[in-house]
Amino acid sequence: MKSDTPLLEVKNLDVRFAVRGGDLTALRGISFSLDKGERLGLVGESGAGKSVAAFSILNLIARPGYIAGGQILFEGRDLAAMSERELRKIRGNRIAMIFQDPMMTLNPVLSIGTQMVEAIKHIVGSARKRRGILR
Amino acid sequence: MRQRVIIAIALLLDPEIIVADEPTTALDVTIQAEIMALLLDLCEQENVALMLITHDLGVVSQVTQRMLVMYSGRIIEQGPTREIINDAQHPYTQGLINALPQLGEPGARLFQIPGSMPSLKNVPTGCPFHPRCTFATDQCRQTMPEYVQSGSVDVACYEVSNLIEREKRMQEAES
Ligand SMILES: Nc1ncnc2c1ncn2[C@@H]1O[C@H](COP(=O)(O)OP(=O)(O)O)[C@@H](O)[C@H]1O
Ligand code: SF4
Ligand SMILES: [Mg+2]
Repeated sequence: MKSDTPLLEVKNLDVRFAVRGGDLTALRGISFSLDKGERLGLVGESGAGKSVAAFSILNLIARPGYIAGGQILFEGRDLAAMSERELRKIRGNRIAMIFQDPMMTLNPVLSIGTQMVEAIKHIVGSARKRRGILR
Repeated sequence: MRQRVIIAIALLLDPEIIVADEPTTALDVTIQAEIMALLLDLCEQENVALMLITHDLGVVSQVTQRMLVMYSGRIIEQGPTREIINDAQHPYTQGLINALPQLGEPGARLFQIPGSMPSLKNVPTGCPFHPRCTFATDQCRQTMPEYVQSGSVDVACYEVSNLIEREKRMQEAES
């Protein structure tokens, strides 16, 4: 069954780097969507903006980078306009990241502690589920 | 090993989406395929959406259903992976595919796109790919092409949109 709203919908996303001498446009008018369970590839030579796009999707673009326009709708809610507190509930748990440098994955996004605790909670939870303790 | 742990943790968190930015690039070639198979298996099993960033078009054609092609901060072509791999519309995508021995036309000479990706400080006017494109015209150098639809594929290129226009006019003339 396919619902009308995609799981993730990026609309007209603009990302810039504020540097001396003016802004540099790193992403311009990026629009795409991702359905539940769908696998989407992103290709392009080095420097095309693939990593900036990946970080931006999680509203993780670091200064001097900033989201200059557009929306990142996850289940209809705009990550580009969400508080850091709300974003933290989504990153890792709802939208996970695997980056080229493994240390990057653990570092700025979630502390190792959080990831481990969440992972262990989940293992315990699914083991219980399997044994029929949880529904 | 560490990357395997990361993938395991990412999946144990039971996400709806995994964004993987060149997840196997730093790894040994033999392990790359194994890690990719693991990631694919788990995404399929758990019905997790995957956004896979890679410069390996072979992996994209094996693993993904749809694909985006980026150039100089823009998506220049997007649509079903099979359609794009079999019949890329944008000259840049064609260049990427022809540079691969296993994906290009059999017997065709291996191709390298001349030049390189511009830096953000010097993004060319018009279509950013124009300095490297054999089809570039004055129109390409002056204004950025809008997206047009070709089959199920969205593509930003004057060569493509002009061709679609010509075909349309020919059909109109015939009827
Ligand atoms: N912090 C930054 N400040 C200025 N420019 C940056 C910064 N990070 C990335 N860029 C630029 O953004 C562009 C896209 O980079 P990136 O997303 O890493 O490319 P890719 O992942 O496709 O190789 C490049 O031109 C890069 O130099
Ligand atoms: S718009 Fe023009 S320069 Fe750009 S890819 Fe198409 S033909 Fe080449
Ligand atoms: Mg990158």
